[in-house]
Amino acid sequence: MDHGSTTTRGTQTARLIGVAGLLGIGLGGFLARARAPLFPDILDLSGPDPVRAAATRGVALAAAALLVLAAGPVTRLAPGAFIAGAAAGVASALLDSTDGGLLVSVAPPWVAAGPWLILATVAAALSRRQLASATASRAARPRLTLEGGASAMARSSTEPAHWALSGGVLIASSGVALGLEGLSRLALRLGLATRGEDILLTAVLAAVLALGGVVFGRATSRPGDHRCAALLLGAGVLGVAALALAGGIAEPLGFKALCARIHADASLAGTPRVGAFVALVVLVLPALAAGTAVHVARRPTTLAAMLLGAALGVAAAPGLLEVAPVEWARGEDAAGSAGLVRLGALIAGLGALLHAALHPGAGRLGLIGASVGVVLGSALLPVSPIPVLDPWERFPVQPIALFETPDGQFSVVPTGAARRRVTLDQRALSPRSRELSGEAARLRASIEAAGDEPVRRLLLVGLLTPERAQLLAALGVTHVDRTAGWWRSMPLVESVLGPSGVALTGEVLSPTEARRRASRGDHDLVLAVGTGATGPLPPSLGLRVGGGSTPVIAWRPASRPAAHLPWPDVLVRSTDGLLHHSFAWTDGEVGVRPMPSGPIGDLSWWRWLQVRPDSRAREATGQADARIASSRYATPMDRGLALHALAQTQSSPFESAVARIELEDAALDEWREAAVGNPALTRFERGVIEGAVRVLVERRLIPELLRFTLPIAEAHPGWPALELALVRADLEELNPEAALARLAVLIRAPATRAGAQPEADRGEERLRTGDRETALLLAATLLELGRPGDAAAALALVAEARPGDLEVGLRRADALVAADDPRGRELAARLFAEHPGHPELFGLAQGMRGMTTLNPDPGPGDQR
Amino acid sequence: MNVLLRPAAALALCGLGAAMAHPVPDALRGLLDGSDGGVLGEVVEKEVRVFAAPDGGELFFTTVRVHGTDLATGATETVLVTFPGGFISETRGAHSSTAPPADATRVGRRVLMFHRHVEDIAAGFSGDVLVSGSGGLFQWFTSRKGEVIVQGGGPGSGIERNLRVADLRADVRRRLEREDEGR
Repeated sequence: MDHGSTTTRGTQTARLIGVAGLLGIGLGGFLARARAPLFPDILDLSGPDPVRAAATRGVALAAAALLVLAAGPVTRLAPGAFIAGAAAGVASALLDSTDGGLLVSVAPPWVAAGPWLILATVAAALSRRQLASATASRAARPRLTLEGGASAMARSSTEPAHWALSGGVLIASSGVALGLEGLSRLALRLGLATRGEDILLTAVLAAVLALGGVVFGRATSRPGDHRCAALLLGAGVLGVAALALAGGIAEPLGFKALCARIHADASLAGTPRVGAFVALVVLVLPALAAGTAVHVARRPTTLAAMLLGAALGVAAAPGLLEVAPVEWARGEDAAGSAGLVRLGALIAGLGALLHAALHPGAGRLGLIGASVGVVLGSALLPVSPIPVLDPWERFPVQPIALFETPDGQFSVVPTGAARRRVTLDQRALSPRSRELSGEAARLRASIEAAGDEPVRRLLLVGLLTPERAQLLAALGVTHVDRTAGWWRSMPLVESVLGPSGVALTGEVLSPTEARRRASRGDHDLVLAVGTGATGPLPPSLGLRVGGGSTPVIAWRPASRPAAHLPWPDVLVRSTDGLLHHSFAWTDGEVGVRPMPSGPIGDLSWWRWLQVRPDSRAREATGQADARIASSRYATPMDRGLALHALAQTQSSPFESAVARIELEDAALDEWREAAVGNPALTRFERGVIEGAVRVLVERRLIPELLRFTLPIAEAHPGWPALELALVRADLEELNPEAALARLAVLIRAPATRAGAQPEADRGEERLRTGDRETALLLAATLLELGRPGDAAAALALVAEARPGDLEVGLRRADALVAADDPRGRELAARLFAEHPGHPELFGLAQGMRGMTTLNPDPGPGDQR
Repeated sequence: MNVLLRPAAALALCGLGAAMAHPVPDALRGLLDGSDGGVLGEVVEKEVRVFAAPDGGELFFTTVRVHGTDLATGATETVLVTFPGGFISETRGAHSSTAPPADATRVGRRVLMFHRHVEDIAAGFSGDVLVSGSGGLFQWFTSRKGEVIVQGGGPGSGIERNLRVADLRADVRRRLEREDEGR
């Protein structure tokens, strides 16, 4: 045995494995990060345009194909190392910063993907060199009989390219890619469809591809294109089988059963454990077959054909989703992602058929038969859309509308009274009813922060809901152009939401057109609302639009971390109390207070995915508050917010939103000091104080409420929210006289003259304009004082301004019944007709107060 | 047509409901009947315990130590009151829809808890449980006038409206005496 030659051969093989691994890592890393848009700005905050994103991924796959060709037959010599390296490269994206990294503040995709492309290029060059060296070495020792390794290199390097013969593989691969694309879209919707989950899903797909290649590819190690085409055909068919699995998981019971298999529960949807398992179950069958196909492809031309086919499939997916050719031919409605999987199987069948036609040899007839069967079966197979409706929700809500476009799956679900909420692939595009006050605070803060000039023409990055339109119109905006990554579906979504009832002009624009108009100075403000945002926040690279003359405000979604990001000099903050507290980036020309700039840490997707989804908003807000409090500009208010954020914990889902808020004495002390010592509080600071007061009132912590509120009310006399809180404290202390005296300051109404009608002064006007809370408190106070007639009179004033307000009507009927006024029963009967099933109204219609149930066998609390 | 039908239907419903309505005992009496007593005091300790469930899972219960006075007699006492749910770590535990809000039972909170002894709460563990879920829990405070006021829970609750504790105690005593006389 020639020990020296064996050593050389071993070294060469090891080097080849290393080079193949490096090539795989480079390509995997590049493909995972090659995303659109290449140069993001604020208009991309809502996420990329899906058509552009697909084209970008297609171009990246095509570039990978070229590199594989350039690298020579190294993928044939060490296919396992290549595939495993690719999987590792893809998985490395999980370690990326949640918004791009520290080096370039927020890295655009080309910066993130560039080094990996360079690595792949260097690996390809090394591969060429190594192969040449191995060939030379073999030529110098012609007596050696080499098995595999270098001998294979030489063989392969002399073989002719098989481009013409790889056409079938290319087409079949595009079909498989389409199928995997359709399944991935479904799998992503079975989580929260965050950017982190997208990367996780890609990593799982790459890992399964590698596993298939290494395990099954080795077992079927005889290279041959027939086998490759057959495996691709199998991947297409298994994709259809996986569709059935995805359909089962999309059902709430199926999803919960799946979670139980890994000792998780549905509340963990969106975490790595559940996300990876869902992706694994949905993708495992076709991905194993496709991975095996990659392994047995070996010949660089075949592998490049597969990558090119995948590029075509991925790039064409949005268009095919829209056209839905199979459904069109069958005269059916489009089946969305499910239809894409079926189409993928059909195309894979056609590709395998072409391959069999081009390649004579053993197994040809079998492949033809199988391909024809798959083509016919796919064309005839009935496939329905698979709707995914938050299977983790405890009480699934039936959607008003559900449709899939190339932009994703839109669902419109009812929320609150007569309102609709829109989600795109589980990401909220509009707020829930309970988030509306936070939304209003953000819009108001945006308009106020934009400067002294009134904002009339607005470019909104996000969905213009009827509520947003009403709020903006109330703030003086007259023209709203809208844009988002999903702008193609925007007119349809807006039509489902219905008219806003306000006369706003404006149109839906593509991001390109919006960018052009904003650069031209067509808008007074560019406003990104933040909800539904998936794109990176680009403070230094593209926060300005065009020449930068138009002010920009970009709200950060509460559930996304921000403390690690570079912050602008000026940060806009808003709050609706302590429930929702959010902040926005500006372009430095708008805003309310200076903040320190520069990043202070880093956070990877992997780490962020570990945070429970229902804790993410709390965690992100806490981190941001802690960062603000650590700055040299921090005020007692900021320190209080940081203490408050620190005190928040996981709360029971059975508790109300306010009950979930933890109040710390130390935070209250800081806020009280800040408020007492500052005569000119900002709107944000007033919002925090009012939020704390609201929590104390709802918790009915009276001594704490008085300790907190009284000093602030003395320092800021006439602050209505505080005065009303103190009225409640008086009532809790069984002192309605004091409550009435305090109310009299706010409304000079029946308080001054017992039994008299409200006077036509400012107080009466206050009630006439519909100050609901004051009126309800006044009525409660008067009832306590035994003056139900006066209570009813006060409520009548508010009822004129708020004719549809059930609570006002109910309390007025109650006061009238208490006053023995027959109009009370009439009013209650009328309201009961509008709200059948309301026990208190039912009782009042009979002249009975305090009825709590219509059950014929009521509990002890019922007053019957 | 609609204008006439809707009120008519409403009145018919009202009539039907009224015919079906039955007089019932008052809520405080129900609460007293279902409990061994009420303790008016402060939460001084809170602990979560875990038990093995018969089906192999885990059952979590929270026990609070309330130091205060007996509602009826005014005698000083310390009572351990248990209710379902709670967490022993960040991730290990369970929420219960019948448990009172966590903040309402945190250490230092002023509570009035109606409790009842149960021999086997879980896995042989016996003790006093909170009556009627969170319906057996009330808050109290001392007003600026120095009066101790128990905060009512609104319509349907065992104590509907705010009451001075002296009045509530007198009412409870009266009811208990009447009950004793009835026996």
